[in-house]
Amino acid sequence: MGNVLIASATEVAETVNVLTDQMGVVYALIGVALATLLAGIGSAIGVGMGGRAAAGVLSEKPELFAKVLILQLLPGTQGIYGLLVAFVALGKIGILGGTRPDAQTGLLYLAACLPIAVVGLMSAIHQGKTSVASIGLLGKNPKTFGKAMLLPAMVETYAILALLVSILTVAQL
Amino acid sequence: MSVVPMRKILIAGTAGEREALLKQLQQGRCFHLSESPAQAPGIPDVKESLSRAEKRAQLADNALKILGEYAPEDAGLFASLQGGQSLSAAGWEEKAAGLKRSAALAESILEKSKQIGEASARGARCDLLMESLAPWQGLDMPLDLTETARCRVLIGALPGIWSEETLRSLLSEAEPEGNYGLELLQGDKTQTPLVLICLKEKGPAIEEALRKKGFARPIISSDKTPEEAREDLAFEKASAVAEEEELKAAIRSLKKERENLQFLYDESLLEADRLRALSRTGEGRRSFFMSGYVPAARAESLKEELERNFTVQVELCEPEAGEDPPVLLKNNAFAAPTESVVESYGLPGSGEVDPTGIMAIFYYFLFGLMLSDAGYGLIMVIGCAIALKKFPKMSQGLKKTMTMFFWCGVSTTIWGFLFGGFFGDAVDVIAHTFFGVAPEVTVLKPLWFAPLDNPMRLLVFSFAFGVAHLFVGLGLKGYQLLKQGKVMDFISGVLAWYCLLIGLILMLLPSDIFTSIAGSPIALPGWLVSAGKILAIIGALGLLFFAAWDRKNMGLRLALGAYELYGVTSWLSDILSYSRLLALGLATGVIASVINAMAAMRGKSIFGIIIFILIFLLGHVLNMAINLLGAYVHTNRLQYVEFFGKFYDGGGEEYIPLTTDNTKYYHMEESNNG
Repeated sequence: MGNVLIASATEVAETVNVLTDQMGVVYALIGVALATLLAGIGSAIGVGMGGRAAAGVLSEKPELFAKVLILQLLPGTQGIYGLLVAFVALGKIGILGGTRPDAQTGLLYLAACLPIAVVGLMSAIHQGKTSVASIGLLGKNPKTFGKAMLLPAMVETYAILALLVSILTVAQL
Repeated sequence: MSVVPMRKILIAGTAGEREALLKQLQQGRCFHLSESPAQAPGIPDVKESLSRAEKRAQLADNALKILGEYAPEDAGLFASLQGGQSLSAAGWEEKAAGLKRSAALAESILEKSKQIGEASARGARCDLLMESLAPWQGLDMPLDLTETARCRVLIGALPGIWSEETLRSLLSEAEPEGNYGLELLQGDKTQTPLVLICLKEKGPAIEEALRKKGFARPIISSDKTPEEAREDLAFEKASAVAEEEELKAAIRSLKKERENLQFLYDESLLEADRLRALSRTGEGRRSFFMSGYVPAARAESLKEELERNFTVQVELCEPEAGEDPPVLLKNNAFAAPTESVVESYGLPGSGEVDPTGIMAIFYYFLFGLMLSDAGYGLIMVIGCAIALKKFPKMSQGLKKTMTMFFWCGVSTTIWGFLFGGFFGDAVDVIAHTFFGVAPEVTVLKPLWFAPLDNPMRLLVFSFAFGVAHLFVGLGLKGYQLLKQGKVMDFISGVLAWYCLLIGLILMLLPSDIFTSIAGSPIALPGWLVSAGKILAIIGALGLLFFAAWDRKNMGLRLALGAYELYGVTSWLSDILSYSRLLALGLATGVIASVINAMAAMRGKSIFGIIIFILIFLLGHVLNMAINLLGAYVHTNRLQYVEFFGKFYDGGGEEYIPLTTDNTKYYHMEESNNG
């Protein structure tokens, strides 16, 4: 009876070890998925809002197409930043290269991905709203393109800061 | 890098010559008309002529659009780069003689287009009527027949599907004997068309029974049988179609007149410009007066020209102090393309220098650093160079933009090679995948270092570039202050900042925080650190006590000084803002590498090569487009917010000369006498 118990205790310990080892990559992948998902969703919402406003302006002033398109695309970068962090992480956690992390390192990857995931989501939505306003401004006064472009770009600063923290952490882990 | 000096010009002349004079000024392209301070009562016929000219431009534009619809111009992809056809001033006058004819032509095109619309509406109406006739085909009596000598004829349809039996049982109540003729025509799910003939006296009862079930007469009525009516409609439709075609052909035959219409449009625009200027001149009964600005270099020759050709009095004088002449920037070929960047922020106001020259250097530098891929850079360089060479007549604005991206491309290429980016890591991926080079070997080595291997290093350099950029901005502020003779402001607002910031940087460099960012400690000699401390203290005290040196109240002065000192936080955030240089540079490189990795996934085979080329092309086009956008936007931001924020307000009025260059299709050559 005692032997059986001891044997099963070691087995359990081994299983736990194996599990924690394998969980590392799972945690890291959750981080990767969040970075891609949230930042991507934010950008999709932002660019979508911009596109609807742009279509309205284009119906009246089709010659503004190129300028309006630039304004529409501005909130699209957060999705790319998320993708960027995701790819750098994938290259280090044994999916596209590197080695599989243990559980603790996996959680670190997850934490490292969070800034661009959350800030990407929120900033893209707000940048989209600013883009909509800028597209309206451009529609009323096509000469203000420089200023109209700058307003949404101000929002993006915070996505860039989050990207920096995420990517520097992922690269150094 | 400078603002072109302007001279004020006052012109007085006889009313009869004012239009000819404006024309000459327009061809001279250097006269900026200022709003006359005492607004003239206005020449009554000017407004009318102006609206006539504007309408004529609109007319020509509409006619061109219609012509373009029926006889499309075989314009290439690069039509917008081609630029207008050139005409000498004399050739312009000659062509202007045919304006009346062109205007009539434009009107006839508009009229024809209207007729096309009508004919097409007629055809559509025939279609609609024929459709509603369809259920009655096969009926051999006129649709509007209601009765004969003794009989009542009911032609119409019941909603829904009816068979003859159900119908007869419905009618058995009204006419139990069944003394009527009933014929059901081919119907569909929605209605059953039918013809019923009965004796006149039975008519009302039967009709009533049918009506209860929703019986309705045909929508279309005709004294002909449906067959004949359909033939008539088909004929009418055919004639409408023929008329439409004929009109379209007539418009198409006018396509060789396109040039004349384009000229009509351009000339109408120029005329409207002249009239708009005219409405802003002072006007007496026999004379007129206008004032404006001319670049100093052109002033004397313009005065001489005007006095030779017209009975006018021309006075030239220097703008008075407090008067802000319009601003025209003049820069060398390297910096001039970025003038539009300055313009869209705002032209230098009074007392400000033209920042274009210095900004251009940083503009190209920062743009290249953010895009930092030699492949993309070369595409920009080659693309812009070809476009500039092949289409020398493209508009000035476009030419400037192209030249700007050419220089940005050069910088991007240099940075790309420094960081080892050529379409990402394309050279290595191709060598490893298709040429069997061992994966450990790096083929294209960065001349400096690869950012992804050592991002912290590039971060530190980004901050360093930022500090340099901002220091130059502060220096420009100092230059402006000294130029205006404000020495005290220079010492308290610029010199003190330099002391404080340089001192702080010297103190920060050997600290632990900086070591952890840079990765390796930086050892500075002890005396330098102490000097830094002293500098920082001097700077801080200078700001505290002298930022508001002109205030008498000491308490207020110290409070304002403390507030100025608090501005150090904005310096910190400005410098941190340059971290985007690293982020955007990494974005280009990493995404490009991802594209290459995906492209090379199928390995070394024919199929693999095809896949590689496809993914490579598509991926890099997308990546280049999105990163070009990013680099452009964020370079502008760094210039506008961080750099200009240090010294530049930009409230100058734009120099807009009366010119013949606002045309769309034709270009008037500069004449020697004009």
